[in-house]
Amino acid sequence: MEALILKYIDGDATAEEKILVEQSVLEDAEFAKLYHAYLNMDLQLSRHAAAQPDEIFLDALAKHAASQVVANRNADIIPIRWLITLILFATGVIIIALRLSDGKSILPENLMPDPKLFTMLSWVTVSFLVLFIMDVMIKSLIRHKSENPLAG
Amino acid sequence: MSASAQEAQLIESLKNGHKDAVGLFVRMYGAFIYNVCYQVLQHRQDAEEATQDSVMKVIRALDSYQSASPFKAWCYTIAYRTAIDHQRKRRNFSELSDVAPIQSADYADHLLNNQDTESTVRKLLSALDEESRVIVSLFYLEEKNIKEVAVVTGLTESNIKIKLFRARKFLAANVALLNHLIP
Repeated sequence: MEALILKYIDGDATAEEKILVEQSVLEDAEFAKLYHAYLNMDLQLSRHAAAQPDEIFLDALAKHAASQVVANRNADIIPIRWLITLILFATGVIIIALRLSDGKSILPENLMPDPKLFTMLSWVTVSFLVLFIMDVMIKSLIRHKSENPLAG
Repeated sequence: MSASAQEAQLIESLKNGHKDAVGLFVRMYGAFIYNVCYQVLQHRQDAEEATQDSVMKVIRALDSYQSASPFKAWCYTIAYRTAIDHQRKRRNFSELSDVAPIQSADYADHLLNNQDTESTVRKLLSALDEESRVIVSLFYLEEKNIKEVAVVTGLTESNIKIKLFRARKFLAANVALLNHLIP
């Protein structure tokens, strides 16, 4: 009986089923009561079954998601910076190793760079590493703070 | 431009990280994702948090999206799983007191205490399991198109029909009870 009523309400009933339901509503009080209960339920569900989010929430979500996408796009640059840092670091290590082997240079004297160059290279590498670490820390702090801007 | 062409263009723009596409995506799918999350969690704030997570997951995982399956169904899967994860976390923190399913013996009192139809429907829906709630909600959202609900949820049409029938039978019985009790 319920299945038939639902088919009728959903518009899936055949011509014979439609006639049967309409006749039953007129002639059978119990059937009519059940039919109206289903009709009422259907009406209320079609109005309220789907939950609607606040427009303000959707606006905030759109802004937040867009900012995250931009942040992720910028974050893609990090591997290149990592690469530069590693190259600088590796170059520094190799040169220092060449210079300090047995207290004498492995390279011939005429190919050995000026000691000032070692100092300069060391400072550049250290400064770059310090700036890079600071950059990562600040970014992770900002990301942590903006993790749930919509909550509450 | 057709809906599928617009959808394909949107996905491509999202993959390329276009800021405007993100806004458009939230406009097109935000309410749908929120509804799925809400039906699982039955709590506005939790649903908003799950929606935010789901949207970010969809954007981040776009490279793994296969265009052979409908985009909406893919979004649904992510939203549903994210909401279930949130629900699990919430259970772990024992914060279910305000969203626990209403036991049938208490319906009359619960319903009489609040005569606002919308919240009554919400309370009735909260007595169903989360999957049935989502199915009922999608059924009405998709204008009673069972095929569309099947595509989105990945369930078979017969499975949906059974769950839908049981849920609507339960809801009709309780709406009838409500009408009988409220003068």
